[in-house]
Amino acid sequence: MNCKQVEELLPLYAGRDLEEKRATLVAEHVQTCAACARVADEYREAVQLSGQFAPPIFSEAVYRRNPDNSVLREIEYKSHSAIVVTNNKGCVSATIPRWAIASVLLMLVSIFAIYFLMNKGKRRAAIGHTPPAEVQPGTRGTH
Amino acid sequence: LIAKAIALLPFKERASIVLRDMEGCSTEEVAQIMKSSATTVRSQISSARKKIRAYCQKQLRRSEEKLR
Repeated sequence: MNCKQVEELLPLYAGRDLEEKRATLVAEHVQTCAACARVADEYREAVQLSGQFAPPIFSEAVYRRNPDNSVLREIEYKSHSAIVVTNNKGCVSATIPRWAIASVLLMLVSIFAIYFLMNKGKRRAAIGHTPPAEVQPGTRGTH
Repeated sequence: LIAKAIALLPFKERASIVLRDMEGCSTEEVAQIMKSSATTVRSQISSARKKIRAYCQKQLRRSEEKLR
């Protein structure tokens, strides 16, 4: 097998989708060819990274746009209708249902609003009740 | 970067790669869901992985050029 033939099979080889006979031939070539080994590693890394992402949840608009809804329904059914929180690197940190995130956000907003309103009230009260400057006895009506 | 590359794939390739790499279904299971043959699914997966790699390489090259 030459490099060109191997290059065509590398995407499947990286994800172990190749039948045994061909996979053995590719593996033999990869062991001797540094360039193909590098490409195989890149494919393998891409496959591993894609495995770290959660399957998507589709909106009704996506269902309307795509004719084959059964495939989308199958993907969504398998992903348990939960959203997955991912960081910038794409690694999964937790699986949290949508209603929990919404309620936490609502609580945070209401706490912030109450705190803000209370502070505003206090500030107003502090300005309104400043004691007037004391008038010195005997200074009034001296003229 | 990979998520964006997957999002840019054509519908059938995207569905195949999601089922195979994200869900961990076998090629035969993907073929059953997609109502096509295992050979077609393998071809779609191969094409999708090539496109993902090409997209990532292009974006990485661009960001390297920006840094220079």
